[in-house]
Amino acid sequence: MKVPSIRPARRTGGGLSREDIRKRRVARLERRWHMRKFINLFILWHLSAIIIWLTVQNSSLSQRLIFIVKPYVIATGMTQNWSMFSPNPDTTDLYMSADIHYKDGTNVTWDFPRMVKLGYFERYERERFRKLVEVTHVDADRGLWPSMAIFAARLNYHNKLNPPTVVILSRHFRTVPAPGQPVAQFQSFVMLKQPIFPSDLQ
Amino acid sequence: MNFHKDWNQFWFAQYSPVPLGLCRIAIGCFTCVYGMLLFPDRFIWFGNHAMFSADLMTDYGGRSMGPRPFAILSHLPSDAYLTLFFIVFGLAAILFTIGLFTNVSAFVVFVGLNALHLRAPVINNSGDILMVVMCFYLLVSPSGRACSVDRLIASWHGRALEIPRSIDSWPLRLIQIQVSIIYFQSWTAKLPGNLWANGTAVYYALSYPELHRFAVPPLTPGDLWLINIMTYFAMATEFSMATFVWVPRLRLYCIAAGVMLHLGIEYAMNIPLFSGLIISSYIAFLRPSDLEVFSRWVRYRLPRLSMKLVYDGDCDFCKSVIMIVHMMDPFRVVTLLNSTRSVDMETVPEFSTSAELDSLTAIDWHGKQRFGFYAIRSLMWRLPALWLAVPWLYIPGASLLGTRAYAWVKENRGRLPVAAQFRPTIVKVQ
Repeated sequence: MKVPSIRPARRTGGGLSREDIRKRRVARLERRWHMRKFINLFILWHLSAIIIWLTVQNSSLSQRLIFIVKPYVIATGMTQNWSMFSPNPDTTDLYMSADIHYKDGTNVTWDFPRMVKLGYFERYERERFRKLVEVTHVDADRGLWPSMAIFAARLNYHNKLNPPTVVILSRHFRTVPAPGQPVAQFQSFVMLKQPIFPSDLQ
Repeated sequence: MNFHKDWNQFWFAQYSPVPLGLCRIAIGCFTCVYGMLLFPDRFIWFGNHAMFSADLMTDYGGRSMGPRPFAILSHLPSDAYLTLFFIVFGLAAILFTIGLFTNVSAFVVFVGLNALHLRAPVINNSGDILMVVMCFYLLVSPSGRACSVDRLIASWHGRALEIPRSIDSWPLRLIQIQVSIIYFQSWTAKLPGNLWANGTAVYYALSYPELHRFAVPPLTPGDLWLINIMTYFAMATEFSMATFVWVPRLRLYCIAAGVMLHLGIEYAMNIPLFSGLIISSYIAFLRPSDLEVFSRWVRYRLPRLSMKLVYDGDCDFCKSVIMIVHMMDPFRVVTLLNSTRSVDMETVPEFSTSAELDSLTAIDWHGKQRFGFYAIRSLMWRLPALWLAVPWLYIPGASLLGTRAYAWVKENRGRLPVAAQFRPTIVKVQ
């Protein structure tokens, strides 16, 4: 016979002997002990990996150890580096532009989005372009320039009868003036002259 | 000094899961925003015809660096999958924020962030890396133990206590140490810089046009003393967050300085998400007592928020809902009154004059009574977890629909599901 009760259900050790309960507790403690051992190892490994990763530039010992921790750091996305604005804040005001030459001989100049020319929200949304220019303008990354030139060509390809044929990628920079000094003019340097083929525009 | 004991005390002391839950909510919000910011330009950076091919980016990131198990965006069959990826990522970020299926959603968010970063490493900034680092810590920790829908569901089914079960402190310790490492490296990297040494670094940072955000008063040579103060304040704050933050007495001062520094950066410089993320990670340094003090401060400073909610004590469904309301009220501004208890009802003499005695009734600070749907709408203003839903209840027609929905629920409340603790228990009598 079943009788409803308003008393909340309570879990009890019903049906278990004291010995069983004791064994369960011991097993639980053992599990916890093993878990702690595992967590301790994880903590030591993880912190060592981060510290070695962050000090790699400074110490020869770290450079030897980096091969051990690198797979872990790369796989977990922990490729951290916190040297922002150091050793000094960047004092080079910089932007990139592309001169796009079309088949009919005309040309247009297109700037990679410059934050100073965007509104508040758009500036926030498209900040990636600033980062792109900051990272890729250096000669060490010249391998990325052809892709950037082709991107500019694709973006400015509006008339199928008049496709872009050449893109000239340029960087423009000036130094942020010291307090009280006048603002300098931008200086421009050609980075790359990239021929554009029909296959690039697809 | 007993090293073994101190080690265990540091890493395995029992701790409230609330700071970790709050940290998850804050970081989760930023992952949602991150997804929304990248979505419009997704084909430019991550598509099959993106600016940089997947192969080029793999080479750029260093092909020989090691295994990249989460580089799933490098092998997309078509751009439609990229849109699908963003939808899944966005949903996972929302679930992660509200704490529903927290472990699974945290994993999906973590994999998604890694996939995005590996596909276009050329556009990653410090905020992106910080986001993935924090998600890693939240993934390996029980971040859904508090402030989560998972916990509400567990409570509904009778599997959770009113006060969340404590956790080992190691996940919070890892986040704290990570924050200190960030500041320590940032500080040491600035030491060789002559602009930091002569106190003009902030001038150059603020004068960099591409990083401008909101207007800053023009900096002239006459303001150099102010620039010096700001520069040395930034350096001192970074050093403090690496060291003094571990001194219990100085902890809150260091956090306050850090918040000021990053709010200043957020105002003046266009560095998306970084300041918000780093401030979110400070939550790991807070103690439950700090949160309690803040809660009391809110109650004391904003008395207009207080509300009395009268519910039908004979209705199991109502009691179940009230249990959830109580759990979602972090500032304890809602006083719950059972209409069947005379002690409770004596505190609201005006209630007896009400015409709608059997409806949920909200009585605000001025003594104004609201019933049914309007009581719920008024209540939702007091529950931070529901703030995003409040504007929807004010759109035209919402009152009409809401009133009808409330009437239906009121009529059928005897048939609606109730929390485990209010269900009648079947007891076998032999």
